[in-house]
Amino acid sequence: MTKTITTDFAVVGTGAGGSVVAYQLAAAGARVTMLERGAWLHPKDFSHDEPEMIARIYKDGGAQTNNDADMFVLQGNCVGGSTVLTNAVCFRMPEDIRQSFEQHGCTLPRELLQQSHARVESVLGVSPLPSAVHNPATAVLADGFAKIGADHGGFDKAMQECIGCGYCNVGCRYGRKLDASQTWVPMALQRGADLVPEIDIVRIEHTRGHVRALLGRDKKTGESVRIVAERYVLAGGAINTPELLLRSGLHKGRAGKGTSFNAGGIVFGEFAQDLDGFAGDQMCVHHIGDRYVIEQIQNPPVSLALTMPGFYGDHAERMQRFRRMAALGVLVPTKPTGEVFLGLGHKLFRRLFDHADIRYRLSDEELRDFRDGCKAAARAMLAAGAKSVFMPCATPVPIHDEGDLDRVDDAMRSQSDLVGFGSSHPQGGACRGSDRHSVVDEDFRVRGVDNLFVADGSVFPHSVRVNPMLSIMATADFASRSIGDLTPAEHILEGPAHEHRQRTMTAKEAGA
Amino acid sequence: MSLNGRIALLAILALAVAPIWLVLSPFGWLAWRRGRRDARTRGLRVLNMIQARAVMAHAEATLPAPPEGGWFVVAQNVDRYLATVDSPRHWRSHAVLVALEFAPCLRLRRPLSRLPLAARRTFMERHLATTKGLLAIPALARQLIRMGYYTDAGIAKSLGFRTMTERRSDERRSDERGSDAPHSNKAVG
Repeated sequence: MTKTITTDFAVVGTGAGGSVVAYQLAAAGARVTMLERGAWLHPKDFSHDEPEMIARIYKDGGAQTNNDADMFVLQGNCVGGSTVLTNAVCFRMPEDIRQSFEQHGCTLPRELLQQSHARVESVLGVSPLPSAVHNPATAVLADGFAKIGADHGGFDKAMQECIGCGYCNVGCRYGRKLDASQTWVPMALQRGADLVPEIDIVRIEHTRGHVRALLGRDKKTGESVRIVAERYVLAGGAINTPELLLRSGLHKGRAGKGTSFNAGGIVFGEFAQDLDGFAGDQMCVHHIGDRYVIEQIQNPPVSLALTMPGFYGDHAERMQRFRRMAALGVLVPTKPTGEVFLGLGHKLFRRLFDHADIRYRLSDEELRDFRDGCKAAARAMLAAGAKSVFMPCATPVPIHDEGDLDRVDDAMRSQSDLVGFGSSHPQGGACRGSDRHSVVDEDFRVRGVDNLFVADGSVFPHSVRVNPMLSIMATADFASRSIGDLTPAEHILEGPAHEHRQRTMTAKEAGA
Repeated sequence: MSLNGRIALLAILALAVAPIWLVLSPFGWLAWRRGRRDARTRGLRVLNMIQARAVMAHAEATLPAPPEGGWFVVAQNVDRYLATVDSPRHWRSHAVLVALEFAPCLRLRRPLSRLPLAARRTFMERHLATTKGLLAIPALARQLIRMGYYTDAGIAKSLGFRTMTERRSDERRSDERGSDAPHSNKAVG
């Protein structure tokens, strides 16, 4: 028996892209249905039990890798998508990236994009992370950056009265992180949208350039579901959107191509004194270079163990010095050379391989940039007083001073030499452009299909270099103009951040 | 070679020795059934005892001290994680744990959990400490076991980790004393 859902707009995915579009469409008065593979979790459902949360809110329990199994690709699998797993870091899309997108035919007019950025920031309550919740390793690392003459700064984050528990990556159990599940999704629901969690959309039914329905399966009951809408918006992220296009026979040979990442690994520094980097917000200081970004990332025990280099005895020894460890993640924006595709396994043994495969290898140039980023992170740590630095590679490279850094080149010659290498920021795969070879046209419409749109990070022609959450949300806000033929309101005066601002203002007035 | 390619290669190799499998399969089937029954008796939801033994043997050989409840706690935690994951890639984790148990057999040795501790350690350090080739597959097993071990509250505490609740009560105590704790958030500017 098949259940049928009828709506005006069916939005697949509730992450950074889908949630924003769903809200804007609902705010304009349309009937919107949000479809999400994962569950909808209340902050009370989150815990600090890392394995359980990783299993519940990460796609494939955090075990999604590229085809060579030497790069993990982390994505969310719950209402709010990957925004629930982020550290709420908000960077606007850099201007040089916007210009480069424009050259690729992915035009985002400067003025309109700035308006979208501002609108999104106001909903997320983006503000600088207060120093009161910085973890104790922050000051040490900031000092290291200063000593090597590297520009550094704190983060603007989508948080409200963060208490610095240090568990951002397993969802915020205190409801302080203003991710999509705390902002756009409930706001869309308040405007009359519907949400169907735990539904797997498996195929797009289309004929003669027109989508007839989305075919899905209710994960709780196993029931088949058919979603019929006027327009359909794909926003499942840079892996799932191309996967759904490919499964549906749309843009074969193009969809999935041009996938890029902010890919990287973590450099650890061991200090003589206890730093207790776990006692505060995980990410408090960063440095943006021309070719790489370095961001502090202090993890709780399990995540630290999963990213710490070393095999057996040496790994365990390093873990014993947990309190003395500072960690800097090095991210490299990769070229759009990755690919999402349906492999032979999917065709022959779908029961075992019912997923898209990801093909990606770092180029020599990207590997060099990553090595250089790791060296810069190591220099900052050594300058800050680290007595040893551990590089994210399989071959142990003891680094005690700058002279040892030359040995890094030999130890990190290929992607398979790396340990804990991966990305939480996949982008591209359904690239938007003005030429007829792009999957998505300038109106965010899938070429050749009149009522199918894409509004997530998969439309990016290449990586945005910085953490992409805000860029994706702003792009989705901009895309909602074409998708819903609407003009978004200049200001959004609702949501938890707005209410918080109102409360603060009222309290101030009462105080005055 | 891709992971799927490696698995396909393994399958081809397995087919090549099909007659041996044919002879061994009834015994394997019986052992698997028994392992599953034992695992359910011991409260494991998805792991087979063959896999649980591999987890415990691996953990014992590579990690410093057992959790308070013994090495079985690591297997329980891995089981809890695997029972919660909903993924089409799920079977890989199970296959990798079985492969881990029987990896020494490829070198004509006893299964991992039957090897003496020193021999187990040597085997793992010599053959499994790599990120390359077919033997990189146990990397997934390593991660599962680390996850199962370091999630234990006692182990985390032994590393010096303090939970949010403990930190908050530390801060309250420090406030009551009227001084900043050395690593309280307040001490950092």
